[in-house]
Amino acid sequence: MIRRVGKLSRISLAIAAVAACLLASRTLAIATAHTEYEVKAAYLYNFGRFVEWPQNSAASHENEFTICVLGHDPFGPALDATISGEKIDGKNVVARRISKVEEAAGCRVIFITPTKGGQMKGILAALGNSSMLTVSDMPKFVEDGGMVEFVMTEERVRFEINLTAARQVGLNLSSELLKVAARVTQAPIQGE
Amino acid sequence: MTRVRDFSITQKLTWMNMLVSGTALLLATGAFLGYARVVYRQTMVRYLTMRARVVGANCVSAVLFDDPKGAGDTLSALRADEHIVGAWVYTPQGEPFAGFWRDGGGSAPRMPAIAKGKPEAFWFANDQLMLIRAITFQGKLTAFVFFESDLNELRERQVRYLEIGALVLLASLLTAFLASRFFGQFVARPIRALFDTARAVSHDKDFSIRAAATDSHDEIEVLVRAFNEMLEQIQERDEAVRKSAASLAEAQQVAHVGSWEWNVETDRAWWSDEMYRLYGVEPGEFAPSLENALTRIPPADREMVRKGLQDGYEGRKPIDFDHRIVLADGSERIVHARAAVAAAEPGKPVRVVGILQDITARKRAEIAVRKTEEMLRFFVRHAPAAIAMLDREMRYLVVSERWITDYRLEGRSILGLCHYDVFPDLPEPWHEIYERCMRGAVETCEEDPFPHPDGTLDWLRWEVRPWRNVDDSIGGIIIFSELITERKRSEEELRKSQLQLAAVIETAMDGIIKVNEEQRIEIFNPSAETMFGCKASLALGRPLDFLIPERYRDAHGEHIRLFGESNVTRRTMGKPGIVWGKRANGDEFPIEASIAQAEVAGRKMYTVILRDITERKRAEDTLNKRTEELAQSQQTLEQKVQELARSNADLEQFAYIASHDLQEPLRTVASFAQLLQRRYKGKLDSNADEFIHYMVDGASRMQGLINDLWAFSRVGSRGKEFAPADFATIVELALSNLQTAIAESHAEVTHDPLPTLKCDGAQLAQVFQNLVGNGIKFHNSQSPHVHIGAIRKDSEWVFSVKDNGIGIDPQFNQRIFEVFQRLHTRKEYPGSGIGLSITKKIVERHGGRIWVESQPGEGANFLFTLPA
Repeated sequence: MIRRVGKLSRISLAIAAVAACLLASRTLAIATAHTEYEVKAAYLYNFGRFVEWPQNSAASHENEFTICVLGHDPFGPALDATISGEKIDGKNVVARRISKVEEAAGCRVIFITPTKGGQMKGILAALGNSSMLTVSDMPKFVEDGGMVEFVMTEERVRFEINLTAARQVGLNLSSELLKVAARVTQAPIQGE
Repeated sequence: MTRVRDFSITQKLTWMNMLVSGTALLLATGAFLGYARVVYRQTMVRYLTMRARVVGANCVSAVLFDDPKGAGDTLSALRADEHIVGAWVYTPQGEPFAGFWRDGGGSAPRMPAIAKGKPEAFWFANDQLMLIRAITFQGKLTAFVFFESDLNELRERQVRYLEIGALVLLASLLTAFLASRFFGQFVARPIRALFDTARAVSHDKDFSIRAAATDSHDEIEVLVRAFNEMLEQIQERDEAVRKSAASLAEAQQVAHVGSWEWNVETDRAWWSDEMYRLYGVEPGEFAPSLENALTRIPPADREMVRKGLQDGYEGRKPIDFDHRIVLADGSERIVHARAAVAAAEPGKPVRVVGILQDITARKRAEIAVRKTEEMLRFFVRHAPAAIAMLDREMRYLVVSERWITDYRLEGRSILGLCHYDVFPDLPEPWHEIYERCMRGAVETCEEDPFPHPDGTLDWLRWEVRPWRNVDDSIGGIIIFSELITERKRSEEELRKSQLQLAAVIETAMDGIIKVNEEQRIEIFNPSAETMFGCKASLALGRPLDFLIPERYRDAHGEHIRLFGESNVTRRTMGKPGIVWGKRANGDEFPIEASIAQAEVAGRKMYTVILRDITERKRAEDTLNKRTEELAQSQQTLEQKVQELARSNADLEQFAYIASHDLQEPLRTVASFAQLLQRRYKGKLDSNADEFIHYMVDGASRMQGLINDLWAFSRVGSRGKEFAPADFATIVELALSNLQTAIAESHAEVTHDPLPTLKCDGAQLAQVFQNLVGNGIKFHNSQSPHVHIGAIRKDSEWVFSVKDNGIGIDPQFNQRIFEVFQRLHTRKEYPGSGIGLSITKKIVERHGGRIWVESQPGEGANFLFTLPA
């Protein structure tokens, strides 16, 4: 077999490549060619996969894994396309767009748009101790007590993590996630 | 290989050990290397897989969050493993994400494919192992990890293994070599010793040699011991074989049985000593083969022997036959050959083992017995008596030919048949007789009637007795019987003839006396009683002498003695035929006697037949006187006959002379009368012519008469001497004289075959001429046919001359033979009438008779005889 690798393996390589392409059409992945929000949408989804929610949280009783977008939706169709058909912990991933923080009940991940930046502290406070992963691309989000903040480094979408904030609400972030984070802070949440 | 075969056991052991251990090691090393390679590869794959999974897991987040640097950091941990040539991470889309090449250069390779549904794929190429693994995260394909690893470790390990293997191989070979050398001492040396012993045994055929015992206690010791035991057994067996061969040879010699063997495949034959002896040859000088043997077998037997053997070899029939052998000295030997054929398959003999037995003596005895038996059979068969030999079941074993003829069994084959079946009507007493004889009795009967089924009766004298086997048991019976019917009949006839004889003797007119050798009277019949005036009772037992006058007694005794010594059986007694007897009253009387002698049981007996010829003697005396008177008167008569003959001769002489002398004047008269007639006929008157005619006629007739008379007279006086003459010639002559007459009358004359007799041929020709001439002359209206016959009757020939003419009245049968007697006128039949007289005279001159048998109109048959 080994000696005949040349031809056979070339054929199998071609087949595998085709298969990989087919797979790719159904899978979200990061690509530099993607727009910034397409990448961010994928990150939202992926964050959900690296986070453990507490067993008794309100969201855990929901039947769906809900990603909420608070405020003006910057993703366009990218978020829906990303999560369409995906599951996390056996639950269908859905996106919900909300305009008020009060509507955030049952969300696992909540992306807070910059348009509401002025009110960030209020939003975070309103969320209180709800077990929600808060994500935003608002600068200084983590310093403000947010958990994950998208940052652009060398034209790449990176993120910083406020581990303390996450632990405060009982979220357990995987080391893998921490490993790829641009910065992990353990600063205390302001206001305490 | 040949060299290996020639190795000594030690060498073989050494080589064997080294080869085994070397091969084992090589195989083990090879297997180990192969196994190590497989295991190493599996281990490598497993190791890389594991690495791929770990690395993959560590790279998941990097990939998901697009952090090639993070992934690169994770991958660079692999740089610590020197065998990893390169390591790369790909996105699920197959785009290189992060990775490195150990040598630093080069971009990421195009991502290799994985078969659908498989988590990984690996392959070896260019001494390298390539492995790609799909990494999933939470059930989703997240990345691919690709490794390329070199196999240098494997190669290093293999080299190490090989080095170790070579070392171990060397060490083990050395050990094997040394061990073989060491243990070879305990194996090879005793075997070598055993080998030397075996060679000595087989070479010298000395089974008393023994192999030396070894000090070890292994199989070789057992082998040596077994070998010695075997030798011992062989020695014993050899001894036994030697003994049995010797005794076999001895037995063969005693029994005259030779044995032989032929191995068909090798075509080698072996003969026992006795075989050579049977053929009368020496083993060293005679190669044992069929062809050589055949030269000693008589040519007449060769083909039979060859065929007998061939049939045996081909399995058609067993080899079992007799043949002869001619020895050097020319004597013959008869042998019986038998053989068994061992065949691989029918008709394919492999080995033939046979024996040859000298059966000359037995064969000769058999021939002698057969001859004796044959002679006995011949003797019985041709015995002039009816003999039958029967077995216990009354079956015929042998019978004589007389048995067949006496019991009218011709044409039947009775041998083997039961006596009772041959004679189903045999009376019951016979059955009892046979049964008694079967139990040992001997029965005889001198006279026994034997009635035949056809009603005739035969008389038998018989004897039935048992015959015994060699062991004295009764094997059956012998019936001897003699047909005495003939004897019985002749006895009967004898008795009858004796009675008849007695009657003859009693009633005979002649006296019959029988005396024995002592001259004593045994038979004295009534005629003798009368003759001698003596009662038989007084005469019997007395000597004959008292019947003979005293003066003749001595002469008579001598006479009887001489007669007894002669071989004459009977004769008349007494020279003049007369002897003299003496009556009781003393009167003597003449007797005519004849005597016969016979010898019965060595004793002479004389039978004398006597006739009293007193009366006859008297009559003879008278007769003698008369005879004397007759003789005297006969003498007178003879004188008269002589006188008559003389006068007859004179008369004949006279007739001859007269007829001769009368011829001359008569011829003159006739001549001149004829002359007168010729010259003066018609010149004188008519009366003169008539007278002259009568004169001429008379003269010529007289001439005829005179000629005839002359001829007649010449028959007696001028006849020739008798000489043998052929009558056919005589008749021929007679017929030639009658040629004219025969031609004129168209007569036919025939005759029988005629004899040659002593006679006067000319005169006999005259006889036939006369008789045949008469036959032709006296014919009637038919043309004459005359036949001359000749028949021999006792001592004479009877000739006959038979015609179909007018015949003769029997009253003239005598007259016609007289001179000048005629029955017819001259006009009817011319002739002088003297022919038959001449004929008669000629026949009588030859000592014959002549007569005629005839009836008028029926032809005449003249017959005359001549002495043969």
